[in-house]
Amino acid sequence: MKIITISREFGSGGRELGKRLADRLGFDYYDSEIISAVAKNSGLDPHYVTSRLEDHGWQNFPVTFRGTLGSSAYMQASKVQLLIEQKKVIEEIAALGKDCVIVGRNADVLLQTYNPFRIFVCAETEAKLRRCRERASGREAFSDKELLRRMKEIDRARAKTREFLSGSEWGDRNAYHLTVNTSDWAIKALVPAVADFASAWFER
Amino acid sequence: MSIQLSDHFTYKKLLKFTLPSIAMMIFTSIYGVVDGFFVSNFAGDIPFKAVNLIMPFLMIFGTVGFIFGTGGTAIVANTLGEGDREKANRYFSLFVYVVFVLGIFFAAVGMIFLRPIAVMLGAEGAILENCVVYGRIVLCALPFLVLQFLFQSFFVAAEKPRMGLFVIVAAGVTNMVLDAVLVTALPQEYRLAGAAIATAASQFVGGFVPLVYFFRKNTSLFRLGKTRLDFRALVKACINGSSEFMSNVSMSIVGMLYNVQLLKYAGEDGIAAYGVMMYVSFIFAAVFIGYSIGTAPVISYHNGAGNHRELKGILKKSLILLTFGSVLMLVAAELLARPLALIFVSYSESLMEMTVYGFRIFAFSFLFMGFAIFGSGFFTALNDGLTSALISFLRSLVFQIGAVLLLPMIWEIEGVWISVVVADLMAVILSFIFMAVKRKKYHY
Repeated sequence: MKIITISREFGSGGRELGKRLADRLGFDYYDSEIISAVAKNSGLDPHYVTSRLEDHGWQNFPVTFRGTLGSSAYMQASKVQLLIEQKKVIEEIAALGKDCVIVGRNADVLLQTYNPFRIFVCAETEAKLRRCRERASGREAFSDKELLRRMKEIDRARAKTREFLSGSEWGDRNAYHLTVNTSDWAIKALVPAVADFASAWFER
Repeated sequence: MSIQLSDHFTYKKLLKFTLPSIAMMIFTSIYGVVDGFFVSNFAGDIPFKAVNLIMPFLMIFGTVGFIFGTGGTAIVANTLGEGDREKANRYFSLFVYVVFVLGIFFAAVGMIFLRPIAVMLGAEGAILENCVVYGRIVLCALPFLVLQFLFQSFFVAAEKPRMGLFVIVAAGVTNMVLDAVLVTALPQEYRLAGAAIATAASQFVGGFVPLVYFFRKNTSLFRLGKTRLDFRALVKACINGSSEFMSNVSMSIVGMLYNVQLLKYAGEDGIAAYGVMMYVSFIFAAVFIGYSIGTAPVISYHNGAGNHRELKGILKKSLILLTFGSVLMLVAAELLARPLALIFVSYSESLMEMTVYGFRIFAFSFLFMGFAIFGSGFFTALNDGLTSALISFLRSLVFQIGAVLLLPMIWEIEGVWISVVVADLMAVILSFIFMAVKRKKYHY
């Protein structure tokens, strides 16, 4: 079984690359479907699961006053539960034994034993901004400043989740087989090269 | 060859990961300490004793905010999880209004019983009058204090943890700045009242700012609005929050009991000396609490995900880190006993002597405190609430009360100083017994 995992910076086009790669190679493709499956398993609202898993408030801020300590461990607990649920779903996907591309969700860490082909997708800030603007056009238009802030926040949250799961660093070049900088590319044009690289890797 | 991920928590990574929560805990403990610093140095030893004597009683009422904070958050979060935002909002509003009304009620009750309780706790003469003045002013802000506790819990559920942090910092800064201004600038006889106003103002900020925030249109998940009285939800919140209630009330009861024993065996100076030790121990404990809070989700995750090896590694490394930290703190406390006492009670030779002597004994509790705190947190993280509650209940109530009642009979005042050490030592032994017993079950 061949598994390709894609980690990516927000706005770098990693998801599109993953989707097109899966189409070209004839692999199954997973990203947000995972969240729906998690929600189904835990009987929760998918919107809620998304917001929980993507929220950035990792640590609670407890209050102490004169030795009285209050902290709301509950929310943290619910998020940890969701992450555990997510791990199970990803392992089930792998257990299906079919070739697949999984975008995000730290699948490369969770599926280590399957030795997946690990890709990291990055881009220069300007290119990422451009991509975000194109994608958002018509719908909600963020200002560049807001976009930059969101970009930073989301990447930080991704790094934090990875650190939490494994203690390893997000985007550490030693942890990936291939790092792709999409700055000067249309994703579509990039796909054949990446697909060839991946195929060659699987055939070693 | 396959790529090896550096995927384990090393000592360095563990420390880096827990640093934010440790720093946060230290910060939140510091502002109580600053309060004590100003009262003792600028208002004098009698107000300082009065504040320490009456504080445990005042804090009992704050508990109501904790109950509905933790208990209510659970209910609201579940409702949100089901996707019913409107109902979640209705519950949220209900808890806020109920807590506010209860706050007013308990403030009134507190005012009525303030003097008799202070007398019962052993206050007399000037200290009694100071207790009453301080207590009355601080109780005025009680409705906002309970709201502060409530909102701190809800900010996380509302996905605005940063707003929660902002409120704590604002409240803390209010307290420190007003302390610095009022306690130092007012004439001597009004300085205690100044300190009380500073504390009350900080509680007001902590409760009022979020109240306004949630009343107005905002970007969080909640907004205060119409609600319906729902007794079932209220009872459920109370049950959910009952362990918070227990731990807070027991902390207050233990505090009062210590004061009674201190008065009996060392007189009023004992209260002041113990107050200083408590301030220092808050900051030391904050490190361990921060560490436990920081590691809890990681432990929880690896337990739930069945990564036994990782769980084992984290536990082993944590215990080693705790050992180093505990020894370091003990050494620091022994070396710094005099300078630390000087910060608070440099004005009185006899108080200095008693504080330094007592602190040198009391400091041995730093050797055990960390393990006891981590032990309880560890089992919470493993989702073994019963074991965790048992450890913290036995530690904070049974061991402490037993020690402070029995040991002074043998060693008098030294018995009081050493009782925290003994209680924490017993809690550590208990934690290790549980860790050994549950080892098979959790595979660590």
